[in-house]
Amino acid sequence: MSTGTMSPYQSGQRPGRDDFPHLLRAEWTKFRTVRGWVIAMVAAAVLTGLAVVALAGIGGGQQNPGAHPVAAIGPGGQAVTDHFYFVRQSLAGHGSITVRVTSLADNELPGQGLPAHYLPAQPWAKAGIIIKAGTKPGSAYAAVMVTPGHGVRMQYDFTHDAAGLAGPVSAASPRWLRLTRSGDTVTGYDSADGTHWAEIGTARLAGLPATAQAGLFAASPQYLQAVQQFANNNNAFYDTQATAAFDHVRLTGGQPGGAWRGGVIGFPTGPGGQRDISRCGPSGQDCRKIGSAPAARFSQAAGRFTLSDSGGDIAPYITDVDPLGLVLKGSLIGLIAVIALGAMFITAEYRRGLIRTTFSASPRRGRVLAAKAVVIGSATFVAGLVGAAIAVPIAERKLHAGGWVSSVFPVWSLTSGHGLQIVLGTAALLAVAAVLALCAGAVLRSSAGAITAGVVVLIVPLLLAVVLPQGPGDWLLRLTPAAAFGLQQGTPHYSQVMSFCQPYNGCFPLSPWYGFAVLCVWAAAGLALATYLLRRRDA
Amino acid sequence: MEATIEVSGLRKQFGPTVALDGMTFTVAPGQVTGFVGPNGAGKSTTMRVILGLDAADAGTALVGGRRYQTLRHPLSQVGSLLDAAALQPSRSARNHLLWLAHSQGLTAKRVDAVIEQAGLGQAARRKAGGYSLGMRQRLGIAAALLGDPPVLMFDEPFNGMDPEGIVWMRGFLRSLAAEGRAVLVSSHLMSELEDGADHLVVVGRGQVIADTSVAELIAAASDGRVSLRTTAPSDATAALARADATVAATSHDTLIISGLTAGRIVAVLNDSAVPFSEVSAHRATLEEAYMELTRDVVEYRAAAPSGVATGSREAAQ
Amino acid sequence: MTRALSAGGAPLRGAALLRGAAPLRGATPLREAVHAEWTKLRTVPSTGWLLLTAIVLTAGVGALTTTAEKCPASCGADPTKLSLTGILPGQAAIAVLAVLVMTSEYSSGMIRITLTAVPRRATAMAAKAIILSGVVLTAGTVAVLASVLAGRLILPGNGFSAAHGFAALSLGNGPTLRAAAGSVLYLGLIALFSLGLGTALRDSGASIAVILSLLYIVPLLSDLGVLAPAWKHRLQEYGPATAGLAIQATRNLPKLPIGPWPGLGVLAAWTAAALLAGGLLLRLRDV
Repeated sequence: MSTGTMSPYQSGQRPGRDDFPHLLRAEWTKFRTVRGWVIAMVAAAVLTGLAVVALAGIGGGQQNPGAHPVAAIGPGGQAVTDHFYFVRQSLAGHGSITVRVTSLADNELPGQGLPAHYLPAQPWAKAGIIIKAGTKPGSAYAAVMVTPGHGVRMQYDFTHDAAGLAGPVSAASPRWLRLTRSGDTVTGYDSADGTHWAEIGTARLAGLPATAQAGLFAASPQYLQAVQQFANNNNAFYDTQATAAFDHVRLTGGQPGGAWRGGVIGFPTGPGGQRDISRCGPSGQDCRKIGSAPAARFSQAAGRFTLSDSGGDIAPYITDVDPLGLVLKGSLIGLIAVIALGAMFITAEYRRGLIRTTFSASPRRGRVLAAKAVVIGSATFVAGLVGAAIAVPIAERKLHAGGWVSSVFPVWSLTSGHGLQIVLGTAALLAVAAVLALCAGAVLRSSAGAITAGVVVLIVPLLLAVVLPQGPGDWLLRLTPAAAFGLQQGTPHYSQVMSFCQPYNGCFPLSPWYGFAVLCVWAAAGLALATYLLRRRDA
Repeated sequence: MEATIEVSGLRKQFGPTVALDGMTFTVAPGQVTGFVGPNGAGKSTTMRVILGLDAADAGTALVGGRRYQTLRHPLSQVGSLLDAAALQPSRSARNHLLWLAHSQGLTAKRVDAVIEQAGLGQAARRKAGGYSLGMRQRLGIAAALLGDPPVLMFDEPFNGMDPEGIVWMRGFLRSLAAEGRAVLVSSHLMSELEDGADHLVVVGRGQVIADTSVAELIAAASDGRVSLRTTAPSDATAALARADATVAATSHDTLIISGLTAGRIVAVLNDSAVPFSEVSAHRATLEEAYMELTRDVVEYRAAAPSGVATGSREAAQ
Repeated sequence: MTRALSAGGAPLRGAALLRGAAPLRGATPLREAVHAEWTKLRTVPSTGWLLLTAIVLTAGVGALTTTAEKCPASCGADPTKLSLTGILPGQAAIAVLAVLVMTSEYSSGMIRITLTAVPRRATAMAAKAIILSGVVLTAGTVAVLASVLAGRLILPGNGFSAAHGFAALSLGNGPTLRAAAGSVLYLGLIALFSLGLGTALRDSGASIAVILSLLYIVPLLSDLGVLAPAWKHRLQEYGPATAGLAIQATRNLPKLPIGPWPGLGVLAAWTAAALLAGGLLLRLRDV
């Protein structure tokens, strides 16, 4: 036996080539074998659920004037504002109505003190033509209209809105509008010259009766100005008046010899959704406007029609309070647990020097961080998903039972688009927050520092946004990861309805997924910084 | 006041685990007492109870006749080093000693003195987080000496020390004892205490197995045995066995014989014409003595406590 | 027996002997434990950084808020409270400092050394509480004075002027002085509350998470526009941060859920409970 040719020892263990799945498994094993972490993760889900349900239980819909409005109910079952000046004739079966609009002026009613630079007062004032099932507020309709701020629109059944020609209307640049009815289908067209027509959209109005009402309309919603001062909200409402001029009015399919009749549809609703009887008779007719609103709102001479309206709108009724979004803030309690877990997932390794073992087992530190991020993110996502999926339906039911009517505050099914957004969004928000906290932990290497940093960027902005004046408050909610809480907004927002958007009421300046993108950008930046530092620093 | 540690009947349970099961011993001044036993025998728990960090379920631990908690300036009574790594890493060694000094009403002058004594020197101004294990041990020793106490207690001070450091530590412990202090040093390796300790408290499973001087322990383990070197071990074994001796081979040319005196062995071998080169009284190493004592404890952990009692009797003689 | 020789073995207990009134037997005097804690606190760099962060956050956010808030005509804002807004983010740094005073000793294991040097655990904890209060009250005074000064300089330019019925902020004004001094006390109580909680929980991460929940999430939830008024009232009346910050109000006092001093009293009750729980657990548990 010679010892001179002894071959070097080779490990009997043959690991696979691609090491990332192994890293993932290793990190998952690390996570699940610390009992405290698993308990904390389960607790995060349970606490989130309990807090949301508890808040829903004490969310006082009964005391909130906006929770159960006396607004009309639209075809889709939702509360709507259906109040406008209508000059109409009956339209039986098939037919069409065509007009030319030559002007639409929208002004503040004098004497209210709205600063001049806010004009034109209401970009969503509207005037145009409409085919409506009847004069009952909330009945089905389709309309084509001009607006001061958003060009020609076709809208139907309150929630649908499509754009036609852009730009404002004037005598030099008039707009031709047309609606044709065939059975229960109404099609809208617009044209700049009356010869070249473009279709804007088609509406199927379920249950449109054989004899519908067709004609001209004008509506001018109130101008809203939200003033959030130091922990104190002063919201101002200003009445505006829209006046529109029409000519070339042509109705086909009407009753022979029919005359145009003008009248007010519906009644105005105040800020709380109540019938505003200070402005309106109990019948809902013959409203006397405050200020210098003209009593006569419709004149017809030599084929020219002039209509004006103040305070009306044809739109979904919306309220500035978002009870579901607000009670979902209960997930902040889970969020703190998740931030702590994310941070400790790496700082615990630093504390006892385990990080050296980790890096000697897997020298590619960036991949270790990525594996940790995937593990803590996935575990949090699953926990958050389970918590939210159980809590949201219960919370919705409790809110509903507590007086928040479902016509304004919908009960989303978990499979509906919005329901999915809320539940998946909550889970995703928690998951990305955990990754952000992990990065903070890798950068700061101290659990106290990392958790505080996570809370300062994710939660403190929410509090400051409520306390600060609205300008800086809104910027905080645009720039900090707290923007992602917009995912939890529970009441639908319609771009065609002006509304208060205040953090106090759970409204976020960015749209939900943009807000989530802000959080993701922070997490990505955090991962980049943490990877850089992990590589550069000694373990 | 006699500078001693008196531990009497300590019992402590952590959940289902019995950590201390009637631990009783006394540490006398003027000598180094080794506190040895396998891992998990209860050494650290005993020390924590002496220092009032852990509360015993039963029994007492007194320092100079008083409970640790009642000492006015405890570091002037007992200096201790439990875990050298227990430092806040961002504080310098000198500042670490400084706050300890302030807690005892001592001044920075004393801090600088113990820094010199422990050989920390200029390194004392650096952050303790960057220290090597050996440096941390020195810092821990400096902290123990801060109050110039008559009683000193070190938990595994040899851990992580290089051979030079171990030699220094032994001499240092001896010099402390020579000044009349009571010094208790725990270790799980008897070899570390071979030339360092005068007295031994051997523990296993929360009890004292042996409480004896090093010389007595070795004598007990040697127990009149004779060591024989021979080129013909099988012939020698056969001849001695006929003379009713018990023979054990320890290497290819060395036998350990018990039951016969050295003179009788020489006679037997000469009678049988077995060649041999050396006959001497066998001196057991401390390690062997310790292994013999603790074998029961280590091997028969599941057995009834009678195993330990047996060990105790053997140790007693 | 002989006690001798080792270097520096000079009469070390001279100082103790001079204090003739102190009993010879008995536990470590509180004074020495306090001295030790002060040395401990001032010799880690994080103390200075955290206090500086608290001051900068408090004064900075306060100044930013007063810059952003306008009063074009009459307005209901409370200028004193407004300029002290920075306490909201600033208290986080104070809470972290206070938690770490205890939990960093547990994470490093140094608590054993501390309790070996000061075996009376009540003394050890009291020493920590005394030093922490002193440091936080000092830093809090600086932060609050800077905030009030910023408010005094900035607010008149934003319409909070005599023309709109606002006097310049001044500590000579009784309610403003109460709000400013109360804010300093508030920070001190938050620090002690955090110390108590940190002592009870022993883990820095868990303690920080719990404290920040109480400091931020409870106020946030109590501020939501959705809660039934009774519950809103309850949360603001009994939450440690919401009740404690009532001390900052100088206007519309009758409309507050809880008055300034009773509010601070609620926080003090929370603090006492946390200190008591922490102290009891420290005494009962092994280290």
